[in-house]
Amino acid sequence: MSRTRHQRPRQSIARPRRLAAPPLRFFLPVTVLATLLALMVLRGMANNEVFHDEQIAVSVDKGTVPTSVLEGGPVVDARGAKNSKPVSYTIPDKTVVLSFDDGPSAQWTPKILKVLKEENVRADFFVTGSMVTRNPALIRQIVAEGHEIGLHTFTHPDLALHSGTRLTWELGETQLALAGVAGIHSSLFRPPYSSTVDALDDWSWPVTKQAGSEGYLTTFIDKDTDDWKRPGVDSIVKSAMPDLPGQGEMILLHDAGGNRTQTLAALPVIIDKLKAQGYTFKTTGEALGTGSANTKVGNYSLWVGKAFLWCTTFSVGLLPWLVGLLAVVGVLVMLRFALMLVLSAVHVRRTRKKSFSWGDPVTEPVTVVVPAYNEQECITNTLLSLAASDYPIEVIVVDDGSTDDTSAIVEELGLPMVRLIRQPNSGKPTALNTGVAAASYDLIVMMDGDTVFEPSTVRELVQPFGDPHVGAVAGNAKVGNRDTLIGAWQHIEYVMGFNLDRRMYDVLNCMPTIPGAVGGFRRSALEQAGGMSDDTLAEDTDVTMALHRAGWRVVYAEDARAWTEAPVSMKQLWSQRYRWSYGTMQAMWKHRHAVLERGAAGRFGRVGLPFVALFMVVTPLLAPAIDVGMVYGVVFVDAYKTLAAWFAVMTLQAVCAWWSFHLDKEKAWHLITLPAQQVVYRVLMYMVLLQSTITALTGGRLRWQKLKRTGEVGLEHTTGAMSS
Amino acid sequence: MTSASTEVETAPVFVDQTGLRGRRLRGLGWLLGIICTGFVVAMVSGLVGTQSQAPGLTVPGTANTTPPSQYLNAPLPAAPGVAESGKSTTAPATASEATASVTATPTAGTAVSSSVSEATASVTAAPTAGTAVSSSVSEATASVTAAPTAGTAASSSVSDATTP
Repeated sequence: MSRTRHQRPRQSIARPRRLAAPPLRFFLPVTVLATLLALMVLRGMANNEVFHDEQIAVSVDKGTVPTSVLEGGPVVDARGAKNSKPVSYTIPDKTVVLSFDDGPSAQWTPKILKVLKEENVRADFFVTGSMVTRNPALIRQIVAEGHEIGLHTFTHPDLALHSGTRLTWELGETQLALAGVAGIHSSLFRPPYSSTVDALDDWSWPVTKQAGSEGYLTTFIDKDTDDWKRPGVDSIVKSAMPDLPGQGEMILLHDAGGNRTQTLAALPVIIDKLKAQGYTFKTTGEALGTGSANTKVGNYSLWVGKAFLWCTTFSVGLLPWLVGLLAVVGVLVMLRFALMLVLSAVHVRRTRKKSFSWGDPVTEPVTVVVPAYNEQECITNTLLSLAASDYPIEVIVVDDGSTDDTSAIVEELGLPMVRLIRQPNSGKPTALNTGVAAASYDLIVMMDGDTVFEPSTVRELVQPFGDPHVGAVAGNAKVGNRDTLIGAWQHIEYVMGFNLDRRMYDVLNCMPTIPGAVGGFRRSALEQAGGMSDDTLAEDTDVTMALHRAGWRVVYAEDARAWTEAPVSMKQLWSQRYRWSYGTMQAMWKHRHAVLERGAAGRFGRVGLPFVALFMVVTPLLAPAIDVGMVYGVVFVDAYKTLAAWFAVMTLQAVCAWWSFHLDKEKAWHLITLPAQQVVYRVLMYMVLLQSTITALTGGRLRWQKLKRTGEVGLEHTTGAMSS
Repeated sequence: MTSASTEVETAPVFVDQTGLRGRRLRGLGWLLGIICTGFVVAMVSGLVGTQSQAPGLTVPGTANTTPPSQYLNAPLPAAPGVAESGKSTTAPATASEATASVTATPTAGTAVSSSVSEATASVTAAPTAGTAVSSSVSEATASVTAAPTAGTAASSSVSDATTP
């Protein structure tokens, strides 16, 4: 039944185009989304989710590591001129430096600080940037109690596996966090997964060299207590003791990253034992004689750091709510898929049962109303298809002040059952009302002037009127021009929309829209609903909701197929969808009081309206946030897992699409364009919805944007719609 | 379709004829947009343009650069005079054998250029020092046994580098 249309003049190229700054309605959403992404990254950094990896390099040769470093003391100075000839510093005799890595943690660091305070001992804390941003108060306490802070990177990766740029970034971010939290920068650095200097190898040595060239003293250890393996308090104490009595040492302990009960228990024992051996406890800076390795930062760094910290704190506080909201939306969308699959199956079982009937077969004649405005290319096909109908019909063509040959063509055709009514241009709703007023019969079918019916369409469409409760029937609109990509996409959309959504709405008894292309009405129901109104741009949705409120059932007739021509360009599609979504929102707003009404109206208001509002407005409006989350996941967290999740959702979509094609007995090969359709449509739909929401909020006027193929599309927008 | 006149008369849903609502929201929108832009610019600069250079820190010449393997049983800084005398007796003996300035100063810590040969020299020197000390026998034997242990430990213990 596919048909092609005559070539129509394209958009005028002479159309003036303003070259100006992007209007607010595009600028604002983009900046809000960028802010959201930035917040996600900040939160991810604080929670050590961004760039997180737990890969550890294996030990390799150590040919490039200078022997003096391998055999030297734990503090390696490869700064400035020493970069090629590093100097190792040893902790002086009878001196011990306690160092705690990976913190600060809210659970263990305060307890460790308490022990150190009681013992009057100062130590070094090699902190990670993410922990710093999460526990700023602890950093301030550490500094205030005279301990020394060293950098342990921001995200704790094995730097041997990463680039120099990454190291620079890790160091810079951690300094930024420290500046914001405590107003200090540190000159000490300890690479994650490092140990004693003799464990340096060809992969880890460049890290130390680069840290040196960035001005850091790289601080390794003498004694690894392995406390993170929780070997028992005795073992920790034993391995913290010097090999030789009186030998200076740098001891490694951990104040975060797991249960640190043993560390906490071993700490006082270690301190007491070493004190008994005459040891003094110093920070690294004191042990080298440099004074504190923590330096107060200047005003600029301080405020940049503070801004960073505030933003991070804000994002850590805000995002769980947002993520929770998105999770709820995600679950709802999944539930909707499940509900659609189940209810469409229920609907098919119910209506395709052999014994199923709406009531007595409907045979009474029907009036078909065809509103036509400049439809000279299509009206012939439309009327000829009606002439082939196998059901008794009367056709009323309402020419709504066409400026082309529509009327002449209708008259020329001279079909016996066709009546032509001319009216001055006054809009589609008025044209439909004119047609209804002139109708001879009580059952009325409405169709568009660019739609083609099958011979059985009218018969199938009116059969549900055998049930006296049915006030209106939605037919099955199908895309005729599906051979282009954009046509195929709309074909998929239509098949899914009619076979899943409308079946579900039918079962739930809350059909939001009877398509303008093919719908049947009972005259009494229409009158009760007040006829077609031009309050909204979607008079079909408006009248359907009015019918629900009047207590009529609205059902779906799958075999009443009408072939329509879908927009052939993105611009036309945009225009059409803008009108649909804006009109739907207008209609929902117009009928919002149904929520509080009694009876059938209240049921529709409390079930149908929220359902439509949730899945036609709220969910698509939040979709960009989900997409931003995907960008965040791919770029900053784990691309494979994120893409796997995306493909899982896509597979679910594909299953739904295949099921709907199966129900409609359509060939599934158009579904190969589904992935692209999902991507493009998602973006198109939420952009359209966002724009209609903005127009609705600002109260700008949007004219009935008929898809005129006369080069006027786009000019139909009023100033309120196109500029901000 | 020029139905502007009907729309003006019936005032369709959402439409604000005065345009006041739109102007107010537009103002708010610009404000929000500018705040967000500032935020994003600040964040991006905070994420890419950070200062990674560590503050300068001067390590004094007195810092200990002796490799740990060259550690001699150092004197107790605040210990009784017994240890002091023991040290002074060992000093000449080790100095003559090791031909290095390792033990020239009582603190045994300022040797800047240290090599493997020197390290072994000092290890062998340790027993000498131990036997030379006659005053505190127990302490001396401790260092005799400890010194080789320390030497082997330093050269062979490629410790597990996988701490969290």
